[in-house]
Amino acid sequence: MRYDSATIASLVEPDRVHRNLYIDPALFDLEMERIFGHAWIYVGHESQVKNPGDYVTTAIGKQPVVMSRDAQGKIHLLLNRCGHRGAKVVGDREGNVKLFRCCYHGWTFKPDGSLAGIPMASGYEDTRLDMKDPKYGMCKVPRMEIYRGFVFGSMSPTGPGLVEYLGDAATSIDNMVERAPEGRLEVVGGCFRAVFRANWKIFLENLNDTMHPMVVHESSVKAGEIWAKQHLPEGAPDPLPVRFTRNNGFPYAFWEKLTLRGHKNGHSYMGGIFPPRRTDPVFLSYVEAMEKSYGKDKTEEILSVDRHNTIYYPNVSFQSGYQQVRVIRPVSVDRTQMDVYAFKLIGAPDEFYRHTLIYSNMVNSPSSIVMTDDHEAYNRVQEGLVAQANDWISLDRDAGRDTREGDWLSSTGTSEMPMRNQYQAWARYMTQEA
Amino acid sequence: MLASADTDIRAIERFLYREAALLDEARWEEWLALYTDDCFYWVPSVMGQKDPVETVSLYAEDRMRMEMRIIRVTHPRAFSSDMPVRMSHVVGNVMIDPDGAASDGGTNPRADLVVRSTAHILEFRKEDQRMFGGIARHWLRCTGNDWKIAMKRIDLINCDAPMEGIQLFL
Repeated sequence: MRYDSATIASLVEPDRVHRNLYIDPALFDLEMERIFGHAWIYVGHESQVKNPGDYVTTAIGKQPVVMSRDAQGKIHLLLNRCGHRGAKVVGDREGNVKLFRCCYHGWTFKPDGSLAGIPMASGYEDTRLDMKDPKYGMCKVPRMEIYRGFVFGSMSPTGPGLVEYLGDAATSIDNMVERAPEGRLEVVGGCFRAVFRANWKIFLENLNDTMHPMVVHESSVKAGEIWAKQHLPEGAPDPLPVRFTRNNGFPYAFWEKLTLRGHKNGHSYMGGIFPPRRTDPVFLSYVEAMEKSYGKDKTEEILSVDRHNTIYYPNVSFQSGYQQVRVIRPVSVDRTQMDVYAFKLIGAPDEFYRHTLIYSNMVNSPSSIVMTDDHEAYNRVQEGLVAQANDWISLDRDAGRDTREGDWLSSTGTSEMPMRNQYQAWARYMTQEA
Repeated sequence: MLASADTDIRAIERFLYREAALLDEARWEEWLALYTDDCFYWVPSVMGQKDPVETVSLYAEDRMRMEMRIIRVTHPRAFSSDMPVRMSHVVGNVMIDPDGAASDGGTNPRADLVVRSTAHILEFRKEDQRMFGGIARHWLRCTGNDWKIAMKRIDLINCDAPMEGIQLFL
C-alpha cells in the first residue's frame, strides 16, 4: 500500500487508530524516515564515553551510529559508515581508540569522524577525493545536543532545538540528575537488551497505561503477596522485592487518582506508584547525603517530585526515582529491542545503587518476573491484530474529557490520554513529506 | 569436607544430574530444596562480570526472590507461561575448580568446594526452541551425607545478547 499524507492522516482519529500502524511494514519504513529521521532520538549518556577515545555503538532508527569522545573531550555522534565504500567501520559495542580503522581498505578516522589516513594515498592525487571533505570521513549525525549529560541526535539538520523539543517535560530528567547528591549520574557496566515480538509503539503505549498492571502482572503481584504472607508477620514492611511486585496490584481507585499528563510533542508522564520517601536505613543515609549537598528544603523539594514513567517521544522512557532509562530500538514492524540502563547517583551511598540494581534486575531484566508478562501482552497484540474483523484500535477510555493547559493535557490517572496524545504526534511527523 | 583428590567426582556428577533432572521436570520445590537457606543464584549480564553489585544481572536472586519466581511461574495467570515452557538440560565436563572461589563476585558463600561444568540448555515455548549454553559454577556445601548449593553462577555465552524473555531457572 502506498501512503500519501491524506491516507496517513486518516489512520489516526482522536479516539482510535488504524491497525495498520502496528502491522504494515510500509508504515514502519515511513516511520524510520519521518519520525526516527527527524525527531530528537535518545542515543546515550556521556558517562558511557568517559575518556578521550571512548566510543559506544548504537542506532538512530535503523541507521548505525557511533557516539565517541575526541582527544579534547568533546562528544560526537557519527554515522557508522566508511566514507570510502560504505562499510560499517566500528564492529563492536564499545571500546577505546586513537583512530577508527575500516576493516575493508584500512581508511582511518579520528574520533570526531574526520578522515585521518588512506593507505597509498598517492592513488587519489588529482582525483575528486578531498581528504578534508567530511563526505570522505565518517559523517556526523546532522544534529547532536546534550541535555544534562543525556545525548540526543537528530537526523534532520533543521527543526526545534532539544530544549524546546523536550519542553518542561525535561523536569523529569532534571529531577533524576538532582537526585544525585553531586548532581551527576553514571552508567556502569552493561545493560539489558530485551526483545519482544511486537511493534515499538505498543511499548510506548504501555508505559503510561495504568489499567494494565493489575491484570498483566497478577502473577507477580501474587508472588509478592503470597511470599509476604508466608514469611512476614502481619503489618511488617515489605522488603523491596515484594514492594516492587505487589504495588502493581493496587486497587483501581489508586490508579485513577494518579497524575497523568501529556505534552504536545508526544511526551507524557504519570505519578509515582512507590512511596517517594522510603524509611529503610539505606534510604535514610541517602537522604543524609542529599541534605549535606542541597540542604533540607531543597532535598525535600527534589524528593517530593514523584513520577513513575516519563516518556520522551519517540524512543526513551525515564524512571527518575529509580534511576532507570529504557531505550526503544525498533527492529522491524513486529520486533523491538529495548535497552535498559541503570544509573548510579554520584555521591549516594554504595548501598543505594544496590537497591537500584535490585529494581533493575527484578523489573527490567529479560528474566524479570514482572516484565515478561508485559512482553507477552505486547506479543499477543501483535498476534491478535492479524485478525481482520475490525480495523480500529480503541483508545476510548476517558476520551473527550482531557483538559488542556498550555502545552499539556491532563486527565484521570486511568485515561488513555497519553496514547491518544502520542498518536497526534505520530500523525504530525508522518504527514510531513520530506 | 574439603576439595581434595579424594573428593568423589562421581557423587558430585550425580548431584548435578539430579539438579538438572528436577529443572527439566519443573519440580521446583524439590529443586529449591537442593539450595541452602543463604543461597545465591547469579546469571551475569556481562562476560566476566566482576560482581552482582557493579552492574545489572540477568538473575541475581537470593532465596526470597527464587521463591517468588517459583510462586509466580506456577500461578495460573502467569500469562507468559500460558503455553508451558519446557527445558532440557545437559550437564557436561564436570570438574572440581580449585580457582572457582575467585568467581563468587565478592559474595563469599560458605562452601566446601566449587564445581565447574558446561551447561547446555534447550528451551521450548510456543512454537520455538532456543538454546542457552555456558559455564555453570556450583558452590557446594557439605551437609551431613549430602551436598547443598550455596551459590550457582551461570556465565552464558550470549549473556549480553538481545534476548526474549526467560521464564525459568537455567
